[in-house]
Amino acid sequence: MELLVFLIFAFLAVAAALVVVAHKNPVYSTMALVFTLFSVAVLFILLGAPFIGVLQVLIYTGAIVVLFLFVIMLLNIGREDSQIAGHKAQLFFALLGAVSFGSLVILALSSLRPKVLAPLTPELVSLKALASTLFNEFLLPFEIIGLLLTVAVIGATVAARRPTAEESAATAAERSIETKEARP
Amino acid sequence: MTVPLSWYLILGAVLFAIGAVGALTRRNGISIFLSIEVMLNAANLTLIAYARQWESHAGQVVVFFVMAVAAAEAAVGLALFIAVFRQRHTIDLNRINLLRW
Amino acid sequence: MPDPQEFLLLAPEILLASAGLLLLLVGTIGRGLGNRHSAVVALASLFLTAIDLYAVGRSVPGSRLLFHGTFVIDGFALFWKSLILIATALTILLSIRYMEEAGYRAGEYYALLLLASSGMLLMASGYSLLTIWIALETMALASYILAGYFKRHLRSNEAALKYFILGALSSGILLYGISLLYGAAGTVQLGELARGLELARAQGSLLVPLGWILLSAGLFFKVAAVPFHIWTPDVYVGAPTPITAYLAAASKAASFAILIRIFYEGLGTLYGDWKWILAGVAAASMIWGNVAALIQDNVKRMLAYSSIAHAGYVLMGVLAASEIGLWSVLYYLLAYTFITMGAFAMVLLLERREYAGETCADYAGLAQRSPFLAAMMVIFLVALTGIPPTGGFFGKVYLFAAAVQAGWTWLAAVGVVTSAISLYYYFRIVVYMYQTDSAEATPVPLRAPALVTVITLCAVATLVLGLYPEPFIQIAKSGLLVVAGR
Repeated sequence: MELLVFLIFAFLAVAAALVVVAHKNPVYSTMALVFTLFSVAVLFILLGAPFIGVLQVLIYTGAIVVLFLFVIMLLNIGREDSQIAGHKAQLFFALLGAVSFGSLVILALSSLRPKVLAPLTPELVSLKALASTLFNEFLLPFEIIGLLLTVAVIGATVAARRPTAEESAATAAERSIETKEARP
Repeated sequence: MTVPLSWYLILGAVLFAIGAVGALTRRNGISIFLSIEVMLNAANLTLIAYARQWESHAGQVVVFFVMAVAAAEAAVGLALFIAVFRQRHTIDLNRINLLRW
Repeated sequence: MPDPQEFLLLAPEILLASAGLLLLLVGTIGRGLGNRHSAVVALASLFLTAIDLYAVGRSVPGSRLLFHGTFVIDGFALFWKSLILIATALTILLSIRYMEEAGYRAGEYYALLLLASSGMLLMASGYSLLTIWIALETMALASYILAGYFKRHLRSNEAALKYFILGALSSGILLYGISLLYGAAGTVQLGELARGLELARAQGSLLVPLGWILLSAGLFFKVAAVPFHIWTPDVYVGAPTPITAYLAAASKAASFAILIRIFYEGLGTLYGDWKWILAGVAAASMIWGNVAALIQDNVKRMLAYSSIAHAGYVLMGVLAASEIGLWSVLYYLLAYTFITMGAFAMVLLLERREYAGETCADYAGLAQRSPFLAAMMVIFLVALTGIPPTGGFFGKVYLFAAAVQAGWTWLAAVGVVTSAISLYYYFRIVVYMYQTDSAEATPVPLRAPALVTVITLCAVATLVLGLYPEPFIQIAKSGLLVVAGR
């Protein structure tokens, strides 16, 4: 049973990931990302991390991907015209990727850890134990995450906000200078 | 029948490789960013699998933090996309010339 | 729960972050504080943070682990934090005039600068891969925004977007490396990681090398070492010049702090494995950075390649993994902070309208127009090349000596040869300044007192570091770390 669930969702995750990186239209890529994220969330639950699995669906799929879609729609980004970087570079990177992929698989297989996992214990699945780890051992990273999110909110506002009246007043004069300068 | 740990790891490696190839070959900023999300998820899967193996919660907590960082990155990154879009007044993100040597 | 007392030792970071938030909050009231007042508040908060840091250093002799071993206070961390505070203060001084002329809102700018710096302080003290990674992301997100702060300029926007995408990619690679190391050792705390990795390595686990290679790829990106340097020239050129200086000095210092901490304390037991990779990256950075700088006409771009080359020199000292190696790295980055800040301050002073005035030709005849400024620039260029009597000279001599002592003679030879190459492009500017006639004869107006102060201060510091290195070597020696594996 577990095997069957794993196989189905592993297949779905890989197939959807391929669509994410290969599809020309970012909207389809984003929708495919939802499938990858959801499949991985199922695998999280299979691995005894139900809380993280639920978070994955709620935060990643529910919030982050929606943000992506929202921005793609807002900017009205359609198909790419020329996403191929030139044959040589692409071939090189694809080969690099394939080689690293192959070696990763071999390396993962050859790791000398026990191949069969111990059955799940209530302790591992327990949300209480997870919370206690989070707020004891990892209290400081948790606090820093607060700082990080504050920076992100400020940063996003600064980057996406329209120029103020004074700022755009100066723009017209400068634009003429800028067009004269050749880009490096 | 239970699934061996290495299968999860291989799946993680496959997803990471797919994401990496995508991030390196795509030219569209949004597509590169989506590929990076696939890479982050590969890392998350690996972390959760190892958390199971070590029977510790540390790996799960790391994934918890990765989600927060991914959300923050998405907010900042998409805001930057919007800022560039405002400047160029175009939807053509291909000519931003990322990875120019 | 951790002891509430431990939060007191976190006071410098908390203070700096709160100051950033305060600036932001005040900025929402009416028309805000304005540029000058914001800068003054930011400088004052940096000063208070420095005092606080000193108090923390006094109350913690030796080293102390806090928060379940995720945070450490030791001489090493204190050294880097002081350096980061100095670099941030100099950046703010550089920014005042620049922000005034550019006409962007200043409150968020200084707030983001302080928040990025508080992330850097946390990086310097991080003792768990998780703490380090999150602090690094805090710094990085703020830096992306600051690099793109000049939203009306396409160059600034594109620099931010490029920096962001490559940064996110490198952070994903770094994270995958962390996940593999966690798999091999079962922990992300550096001290336990070193023991766990030694054990896993003894069992022949191949996850270990794969994990640290991916992790170090992410770190090399942050310090701008070849082959992960692609972002550097474009971001350095596109970002507002004070931010370029900030990235070249503060961000680089913080990144080296975590690189050294991770390599020495987390991966110290694997020294025999990583030394070859580090040697290759160091050699490649020195060669590529210096050779590519030869053909640059834009001074900011030239300084970007020069910063890649300097990352290579510093990595050489990291590689030596000896006492002299480490303190020469600290001494070198101390000197480099002043030198690079001074050089970028010169670029700023000559910039006419935000991005104009950056090419080598703009330096033509500077010696006639402003002999004082030309002399200052000569000091910085001489120091960047590594010629006495400047701090750059002693920094390089100690680095090369450390490399030779540790048996890396060939690498030191690469360093010497590439330094000789760098003579060409640094002195090209000197030739422009002294041998060429300028199109305009008017002296460069010394319009910004803060800018001239920074230039003078950095030049004096560069010379003092070169003439009386002894006390500074003592300071650098206070920040030593022990490599676990040697």
